[in-house]
Amino acid sequence: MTWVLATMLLAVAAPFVLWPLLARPPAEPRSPRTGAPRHREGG
Amino acid sequence: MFLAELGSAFLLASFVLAVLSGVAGVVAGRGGDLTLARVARRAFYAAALGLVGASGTLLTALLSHDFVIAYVFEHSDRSLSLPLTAAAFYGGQEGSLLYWALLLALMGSVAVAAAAVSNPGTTAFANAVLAGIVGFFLLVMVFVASPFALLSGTPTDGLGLNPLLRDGGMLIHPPFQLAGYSAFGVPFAFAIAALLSGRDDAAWVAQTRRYALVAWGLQSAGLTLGMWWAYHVLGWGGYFGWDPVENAALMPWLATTAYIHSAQVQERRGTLRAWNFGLVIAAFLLSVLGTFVVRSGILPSVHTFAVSPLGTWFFGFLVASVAISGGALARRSGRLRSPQPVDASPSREGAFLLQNILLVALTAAVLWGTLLPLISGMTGRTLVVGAAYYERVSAPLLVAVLALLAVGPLLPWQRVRGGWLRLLRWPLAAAGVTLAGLVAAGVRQPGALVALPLVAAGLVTCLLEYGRVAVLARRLAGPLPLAAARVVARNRRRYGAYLAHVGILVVAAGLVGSHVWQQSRQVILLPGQSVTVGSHTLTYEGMAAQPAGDHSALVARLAMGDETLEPARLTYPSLGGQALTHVAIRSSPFEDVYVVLAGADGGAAAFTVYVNPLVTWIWVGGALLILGVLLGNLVRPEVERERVPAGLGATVPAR
Repeated sequence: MTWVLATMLLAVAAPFVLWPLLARPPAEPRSPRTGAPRHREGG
Repeated sequence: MFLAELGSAFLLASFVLAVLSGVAGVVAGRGGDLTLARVARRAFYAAALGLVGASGTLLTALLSHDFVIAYVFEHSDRSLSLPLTAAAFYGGQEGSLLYWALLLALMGSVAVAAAAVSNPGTTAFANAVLAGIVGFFLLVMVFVASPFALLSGTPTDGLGLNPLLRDGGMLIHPPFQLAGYSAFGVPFAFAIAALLSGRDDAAWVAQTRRYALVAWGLQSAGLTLGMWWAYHVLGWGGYFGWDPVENAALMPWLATTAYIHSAQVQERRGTLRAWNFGLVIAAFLLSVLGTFVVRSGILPSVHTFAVSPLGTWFFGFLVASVAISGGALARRSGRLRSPQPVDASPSREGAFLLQNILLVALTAAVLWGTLLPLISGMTGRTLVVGAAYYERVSAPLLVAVLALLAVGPLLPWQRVRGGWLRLLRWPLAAAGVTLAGLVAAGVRQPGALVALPLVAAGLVTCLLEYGRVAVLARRLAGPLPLAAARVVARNRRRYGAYLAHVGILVVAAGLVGSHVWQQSRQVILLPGQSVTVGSHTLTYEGMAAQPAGDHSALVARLAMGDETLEPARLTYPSLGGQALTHVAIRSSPFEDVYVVLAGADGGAAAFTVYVNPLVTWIWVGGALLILGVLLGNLVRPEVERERVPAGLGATVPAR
């Protein structure tokens, strides 16, 4: 019972705690050649 | 049953969140990952919320007499009043651990949230340290000493609270004392964070000083209320017995007193850097040591109701804390060398340094006396020191501190220019007049003849500082009291500190007076007989038995002039006949008449009568000291710089 309740409490807390990670914009793709962000690469 | 499951679940979830917060904090601090630092903070806030839930659950269980929970059964019963039933929350081992963790989590959350705005990198490490401390408490509560452990059956009533704790003092002393202990964790966390992150410049001092003051203020309140409670409840005529547990509360207070002064030297002059780290760390380690001493029961103490098998856990925690902080300090020791040493000539920083040395020496002496039975016990011959040791060691050190209270605030930073005597003429005059007055009044006790003139000198020094308020206020428009209030409000750190100084001096006068001039007599009286102590004559009129709810009371009546004093002995049949003394005290500003009913046999009654001069001053001084902390540092944290109202074009000169 304790473990079930604790898991439920953690499930409630998880979105609040992990939100900064979830809301982080995906890392910009980088050029394997120069290491610079891809949009700066080019012509 | 459900409450126990819910409370345990809150603790378990909080433990998981504290571990997550600690790990995320370390990783974020090392890698500079601000997103992970936010996750660490949020996990810490959530853990704090879980502790609020667990505390609410325990309170509900206590108030609803859910005796299937062992803690509720062992620390409350149906006859307890509502406030004392609620106070049983921290009245026992497991509950006090929960209370401690709750307060540290709440204070830590506020500190972390505030610091993260300006300094997220360092705060991630502080977050990790705080999560580590809270996590330790949760670990103990989840796996070793749960406040929600269940009994096999549900008893109809509980065992009740220890009689010593059935007192109004129970509602105020432990909350402040435990809050003080837990609060030392916050400045410690920020000090370790500064060391780990390499940001060990003066910024950490500014950040930590306020948290140290919160801890110091709470511990001051805890100590004062503890002395007040001991005086009113224990019935031995005193208020501080150098008991190991009292010493344990005093030591971190002394170390932090040193720190809040030496921090100013670092802020002004950039010196004492390693020393300041050492003091903050020492205060926390001493508070953990104190907890270890209380919980382990390794030293004989009046606080034996707190003894438990948790001593080993706290010893482990103490060792880990010493290792981590020692390692962090050693790693940075090269960087912490001050660019210039403190000038040894008479100056404000010199006074602060001397004060620090005196306070650290006093702390070391108290630590030695406290641990001596333990250390000597290892050699097979246990040595114990009594109050006489502490008084002999502390008296000269405290006299020197009193002298510094009179001299230090008048010294300028860096170096005295001009004559010494001119600077100190008023305090010296006050000391001289007081000394002459005492001698003329027939006082011959060396303690009073040395200490009280210094107290007078210190008070005059504080008055001189407040006199400058009047000078500045006259330059402002508007009524003088209002203008003076404005000047004080805008320089509240300075004037709050002087109010705390006044408080300490008033406490010192109370300590000296009650120590030097205490009178006592032990007598056995038959009804109609009298005893005279000092200028007071008390006549024993008789004894009456008064049954009460959970105890029976033998109440003696003694006439003293127009008043009647009624000392009593309470007996608790439900607690194996435990007896408790109820002291009768007639307080006045200059002396207390304090009567203890030691026993009764037939018509005769044994009394101990004390006349305790100036004890009230200790309580008043303690209140002034706390008021000074509140006025000076907590109310408006953004006011840091000393300045006078705009338009005046002048800053209060920092001498």
